[in-house]
Amino acid sequence: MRQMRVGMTSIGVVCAAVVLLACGAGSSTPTPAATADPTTPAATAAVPTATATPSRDALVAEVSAAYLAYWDAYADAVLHLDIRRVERFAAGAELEGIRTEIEALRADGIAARIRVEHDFDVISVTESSAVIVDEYVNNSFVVDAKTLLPENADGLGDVFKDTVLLERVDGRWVVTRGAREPAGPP
Amino acid sequence: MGGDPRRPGTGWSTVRLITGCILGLALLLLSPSSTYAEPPTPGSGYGPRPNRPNVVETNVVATTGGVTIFIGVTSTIPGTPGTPGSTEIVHVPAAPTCTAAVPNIGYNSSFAPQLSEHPGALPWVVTCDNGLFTIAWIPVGAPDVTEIVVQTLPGPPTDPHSMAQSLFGMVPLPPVGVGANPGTGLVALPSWFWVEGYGGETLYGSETLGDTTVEVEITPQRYDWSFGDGTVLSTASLGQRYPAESDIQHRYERSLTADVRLAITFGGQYRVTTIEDDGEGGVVVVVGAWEPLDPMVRSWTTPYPVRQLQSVLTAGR
Repeated sequence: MRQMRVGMTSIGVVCAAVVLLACGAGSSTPTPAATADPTTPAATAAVPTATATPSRDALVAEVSAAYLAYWDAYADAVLHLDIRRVERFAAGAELEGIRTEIEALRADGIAARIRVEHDFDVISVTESSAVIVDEYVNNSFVVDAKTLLPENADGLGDVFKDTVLLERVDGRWVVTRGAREPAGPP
Repeated sequence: MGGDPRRPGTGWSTVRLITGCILGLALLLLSPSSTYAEPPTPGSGYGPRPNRPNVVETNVVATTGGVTIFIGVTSTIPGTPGTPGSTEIVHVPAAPTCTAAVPNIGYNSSFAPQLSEHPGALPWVVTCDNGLFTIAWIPVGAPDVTEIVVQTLPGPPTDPHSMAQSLFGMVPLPPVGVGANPGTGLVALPSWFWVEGYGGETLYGSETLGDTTVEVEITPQRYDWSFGDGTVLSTASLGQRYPAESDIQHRYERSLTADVRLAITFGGQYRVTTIEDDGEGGVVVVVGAWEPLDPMVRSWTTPYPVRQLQSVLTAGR
């Protein structure tokens, strides 16, 4: 899924077709899907394929929406240096990390305008937890903490690759932890 | 068994180990020199979630009866408060306990490039009890994961003084305010002032980056008062809260709403603790001496109304 986040506004949504390839349910050594092109009938016929159940699709959609809502809340929190704005969308190590991040920004008298273009996949989901891998283009920039200026600036256009865990807490999907890995070639 | 470097086996294991060592050494040698610069200027680039654990490398090595995942991370770990002036180590990160599992669903089409980057392998989700969370690519057909080893890599070289100076500015301060009596000042009568919400205690914090832990201690050095009418006063005292008579007093000569400003100059010192090889396969903890930091000034301003008392003449008096 590719999503552009500009501050609190999302511009354009291009959802790749969600084609789920079977992982060999119940097997500890699932069939590799690395070489399969899930968009071609030949490829999908070559590997065991499971039709996506509505409930699983619904979960993926739910988690995707929660992940993007988290980014909106995070962008709001680091712009206004207010941890409360993200407390309903993050918990645990992730929330503490954002709290530290905001303290560091405040100590420097700056805030951040988040401009990112997401390209993420929900690679695992159950009723209680989900894993997302997001390789996103970053054009975020620093602003003055009092004036919140500038409103626009040229970003670096660098690519980040984050793996994120979401968990269902009190009925809500929240981001609880994440890690950054070296991004692949653009 | 050892012919295909992607398959579990002795040859494959050796290749991955050597690759891992070379990568680690390259990281050490190629890391840029320490750069703790001035705060970024508005308009300059910003990387979201900068303090997420940074997984520098993940190596999967075949071992007897399974595979071992080596994960190299660099991360900044907030320390826990300690006792000011103590010789105890405030915070040393412990090795985490991790588990690995295969994701339970297939992959969206846009995930295909990542799959093709790791031919013959599948992504396993690794979760550790210290918050670390990442993906490890395990060869298809490999036996179960028998061990997960997380290594904290040195990362970019750190300048402990700069790290301490940065931490110095980040330690949360108590909710300081300006206390005054009377609530509305009276011309020609002394107003009493004091520091509200802070008793002059030493503040402290710590942070761990790789094998280096920095602790800072912060103590107030001076209280500078500006009474909003051009008069200033510098004290070593916090003043005394009403109803006690404060030693910080000021007499206004005209009506105004004065911006009373309190500036506290904090002095600081820091200490560095490192974990180093003892040359015999163990580690030794080296606790450094306390070193001074540049002072830091924080200020708080409160509007303070001052009014003129009017004499009223009444009949017969």
